[in-house]
Amino acid sequence: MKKAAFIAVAGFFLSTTLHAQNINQSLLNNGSFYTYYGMGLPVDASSSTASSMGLQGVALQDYTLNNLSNPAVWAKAFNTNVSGGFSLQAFEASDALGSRTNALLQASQFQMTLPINRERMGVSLSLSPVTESRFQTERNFTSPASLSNSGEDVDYTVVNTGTGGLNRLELGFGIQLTEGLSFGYAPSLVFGVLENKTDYMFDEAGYSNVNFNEINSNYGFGNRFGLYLSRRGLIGNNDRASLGMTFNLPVNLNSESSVETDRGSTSIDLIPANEFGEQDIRMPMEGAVGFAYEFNPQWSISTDVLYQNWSDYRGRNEELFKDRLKAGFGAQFNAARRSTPGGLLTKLNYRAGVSYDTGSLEINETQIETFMLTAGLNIPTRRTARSVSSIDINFDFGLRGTEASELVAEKIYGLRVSFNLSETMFRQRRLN
Amino acid sequence: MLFVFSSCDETGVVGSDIIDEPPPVNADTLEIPATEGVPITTFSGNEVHFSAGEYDDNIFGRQRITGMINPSLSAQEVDSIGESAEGYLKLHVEEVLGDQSASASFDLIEIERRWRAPAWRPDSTLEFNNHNVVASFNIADEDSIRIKLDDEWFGRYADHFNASEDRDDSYKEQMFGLAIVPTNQAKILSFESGKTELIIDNQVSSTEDDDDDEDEPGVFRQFMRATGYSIDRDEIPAPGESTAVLNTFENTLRLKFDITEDFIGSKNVSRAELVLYEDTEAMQDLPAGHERPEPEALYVYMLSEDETKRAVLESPNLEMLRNEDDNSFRVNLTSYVNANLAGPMDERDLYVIVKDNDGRIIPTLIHNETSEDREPRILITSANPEK
Repeated sequence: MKKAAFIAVAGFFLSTTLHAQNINQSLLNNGSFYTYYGMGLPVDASSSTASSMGLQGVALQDYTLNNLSNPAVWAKAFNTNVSGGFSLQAFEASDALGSRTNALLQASQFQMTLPINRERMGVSLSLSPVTESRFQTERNFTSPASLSNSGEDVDYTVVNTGTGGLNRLELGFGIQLTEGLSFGYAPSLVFGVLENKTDYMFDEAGYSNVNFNEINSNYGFGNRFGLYLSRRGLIGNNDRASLGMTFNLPVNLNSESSVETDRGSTSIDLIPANEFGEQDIRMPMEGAVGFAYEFNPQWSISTDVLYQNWSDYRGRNEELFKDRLKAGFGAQFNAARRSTPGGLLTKLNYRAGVSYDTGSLEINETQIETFMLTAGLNIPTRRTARSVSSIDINFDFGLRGTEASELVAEKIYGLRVSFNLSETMFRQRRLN
Repeated sequence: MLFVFSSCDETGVVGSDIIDEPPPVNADTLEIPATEGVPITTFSGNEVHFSAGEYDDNIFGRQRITGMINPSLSAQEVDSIGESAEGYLKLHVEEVLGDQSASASFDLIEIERRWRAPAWRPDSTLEFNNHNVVASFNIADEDSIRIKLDDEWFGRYADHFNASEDRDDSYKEQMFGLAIVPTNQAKILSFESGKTELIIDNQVSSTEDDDDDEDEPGVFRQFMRATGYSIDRDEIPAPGESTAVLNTFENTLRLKFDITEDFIGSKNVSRAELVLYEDTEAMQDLPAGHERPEPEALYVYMLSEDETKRAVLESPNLEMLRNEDDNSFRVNLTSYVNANLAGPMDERDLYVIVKDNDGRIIPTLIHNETSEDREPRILITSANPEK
């Protein structure tokens, strides 16, 4: 029964491309205004545990929870872990001209970690977003009578809608090199389609609405490396200190674009791919380093820093991209590990964190910074000797950008719900 | 080709200051590269109007039109026609082409051979004997006229009417109606078919005032079972920068262009408007007191080469309305253009006539591609992506 449920859940996420294309516009389909630029805003590869602490999570390790950010941690796999979920975010955008609220409901990453040799070698299969483009802008124009064919002012609205992004399908391993030191490597296929649709909607009779949709398809190969070092009893008897490091090589994408127009139920090529010409897109190198310290089984803190070399990015709007630095600090309290049992609240895992992100964009000589506060709960489901599954509920609040320099300031509210299936599988039975 | 990028005013929406300008809406003017005057066959019977008269137009040349009517034989109002009854033909004038002040003279002559109105063409030859004149009349500026018919002809009509058996069949076999034959060259009159009447006065009232007796006892009317006309016309001239276009299909304006992306300049067309200009200056060149009916609109037919060789029976595909400001005729061609750009190209060409082929005679001159500034054109409004 559990396996059937697992297969159903896994199948759902594998069959649902994280950046599903051609989704009808709805109230829940637009994200940050700043996803307009480049290949969209970068989405950090972090597990729900790490994101609830404002972290990448390169130094976090838990036997019952997945770690997406550091391949070296997979060496510590003990249970088979499967995780996935969805997020709901609201963006209150404002500038000197007005305000607008967007909301976005979408699936988050899927990851499955399998122990090959328990706590010595593990593998991970994951599908996760790399960038995200979900925007909609509207602008009103008037063609003056002197320049219009009808001899009258022609009012029209241009709606620009972006969907899609890049995803990473990754299969990697982590292996223990020495006691406390692990190494991980994860090659991946980076792929995705970005659509940028421009609708011209005319107010005047006699004019038909027209549109064109630029479809940009990409694929390339990525490589991630990770190191994880942990040591128990560094200061006290129950403590554990961990150091994690990751390094992602740049990803060169083979990119192909075409432009078509939707006319009723048919699409007509306006600029076929062979006329648009191929483009080379280079996604930046990135590195992260983090440190975690468990004072005891209940209390732990962690911090990490992510660096992305976006100034090396090549592609649309490349002139606006600058190197990105993101630093986070978080803490968690695992009430369930206390020796005194109690009610429901004593069985939860409480997490909170804060992060500062310089952002990868510099517009009007201003970097688009993001400051985030995060908090989360890990709620264990019914636990057995072989299963320690749980549900994560995370809350985010953040501020991005500024209204100065003609920019857009955003207040970000987020709710993320993730499931973590953790089960001992393929266990060898010993008969006495 | 004129090529205009529209610069635009923009109203503010969040973030509009820092995102790329969308490609502008383009307004292009495409000159239609070739036109020609093409005669097409059609029918001239049983239309809303029928015409008769002769006029030598200083632009369109001499045209002589013979009208045809065939009264019905209906016993709905009265059973019989009395021996002393008299017959009158009443005509209502709808339109005049030619010398307004002149008096047009006509003979009503009995047609000697059967003719079928639905299959009658403007160039069909009508057979009649010039000596069989049933009546003669003149029309100056009257809106209607009542004409006393020859007693001998009316007596034969009354005999058929009063016959007890097979009267309709015998009437069809022996009486074929009357031709309205012009006898001077003054103007062409268009009459309303539905108001053309054979008035039968059974002489019940003693009043001798012919004009007001239609509602008196013993007076009843027969409408026409068929109307039509034939045209004898000199060759239609081709006055340089303009092409003669008539409502009778005798000369249509064929517009020759292929709707391709190269010609249109876009596959993303929001509005395509076909514009033709009337050669108003030439049309106003008329002797004093002469007039031509002013076309209120043009009709556009989409016809294949084969279809132009057969009589046109279809309804027009498009109507080009007159713009009084610049004496142009315009029609929205967006659907046609987009359908051609999206799918297999429509092999049909556009053929333009004056609205409407309804039995009247309405000529006009349309500027053709040799005109310096009023050539036929398509105004394209489009939005085009940039690489």
